[in-house]
Amino acid sequence: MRKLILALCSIMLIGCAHPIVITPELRTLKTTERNYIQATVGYYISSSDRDNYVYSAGGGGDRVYYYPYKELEPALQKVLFSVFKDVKRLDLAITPEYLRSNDIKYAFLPEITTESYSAGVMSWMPTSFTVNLTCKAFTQNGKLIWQRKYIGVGTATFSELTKDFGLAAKRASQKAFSDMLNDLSQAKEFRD
Amino acid sequence: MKKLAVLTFMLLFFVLGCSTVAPLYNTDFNNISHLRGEKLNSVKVGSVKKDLQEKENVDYLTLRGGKYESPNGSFTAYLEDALKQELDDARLLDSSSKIEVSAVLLKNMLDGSGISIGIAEIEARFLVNKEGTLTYDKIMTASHTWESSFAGAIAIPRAHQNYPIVVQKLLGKLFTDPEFMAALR
Repeated sequence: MRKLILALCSIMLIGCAHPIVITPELRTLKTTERNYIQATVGYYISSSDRDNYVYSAGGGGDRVYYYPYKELEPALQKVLFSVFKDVKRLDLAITPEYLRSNDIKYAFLPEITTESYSAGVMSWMPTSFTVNLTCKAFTQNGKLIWQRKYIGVGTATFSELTKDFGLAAKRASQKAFSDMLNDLSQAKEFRD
Repeated sequence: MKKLAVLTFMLLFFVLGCSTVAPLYNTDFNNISHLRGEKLNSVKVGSVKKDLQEKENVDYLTLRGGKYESPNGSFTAYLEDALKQELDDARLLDSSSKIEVSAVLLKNMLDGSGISIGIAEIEARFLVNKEGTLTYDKIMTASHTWESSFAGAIAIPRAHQNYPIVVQKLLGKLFTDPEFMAALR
């Protein structure tokens, strides 16, 4: 019995990977502009990116894992739905023929990378998180008309992290997508 | 013997959980394109209540022995907030509308105790009133499962993160019900 408990405790204490979710609170992504652009847009995330999970540093020698594209896709959707009348998920690579036949005026292509760090020795939750978001937009003819890069950095204290393990990550993604929403809602490139 | 007690305590510490607060609800944008394309009237959201006749308290959830609390104060308020958020993102929410959507939360279950699978189930009765006339009255249910673990450090965050998905699934069923769509026209 003693050996069994020792073995179980060893499993628990050895560094492991913990799941967190990095989706920001979407209600924080707001624009004052109520009239959206009367256009349907699409966005493309490859299925391999969507299914890909990444590990990054947590505290106490542990790591955290999450799905950057899958978990930040709702934030991208919120941003695009806040600016444009309709948004379509594109499951095939973007081609002018496909965009024209589906009446999609612009296609967005996001690229996301992340980093994390924890100042905690006894806790695994990241106290600092960075989201690097690059987004490009193309016309139906495949012409690049808009490209921006956003860096969102989020931090959280231990007491905050006990209530929400991914809080630093959520704050980082909230900053990156909030900046994108502000830019996009004022971008002249999409207003003919 | 003392060592054994300490080790047992440590083991329980890693398997069990303490009080956690559910993530705030996030809209499922798969519903939004559908709702925006349906040419529906604006609606207001009435109250979401619990059925006092039900034996189980839908506002009380636990996760591995720890309390799982709603960030909105109660899980009826959580569902109400979820409805408002989805309709607002679809640009269909209007507090002055004569069409009102309300609900009664009948079942609310979160089980993160399993070592291989976690389960959440929810059931609600949705009602639509149009200028005082009941035009829709239907019970919707949704369930959601995810991969769990023996270790609390993995099982608790997973259950914590998966609860909102069952609410998204419930509202997804409501928003794709043709009768509900008809009640909003």
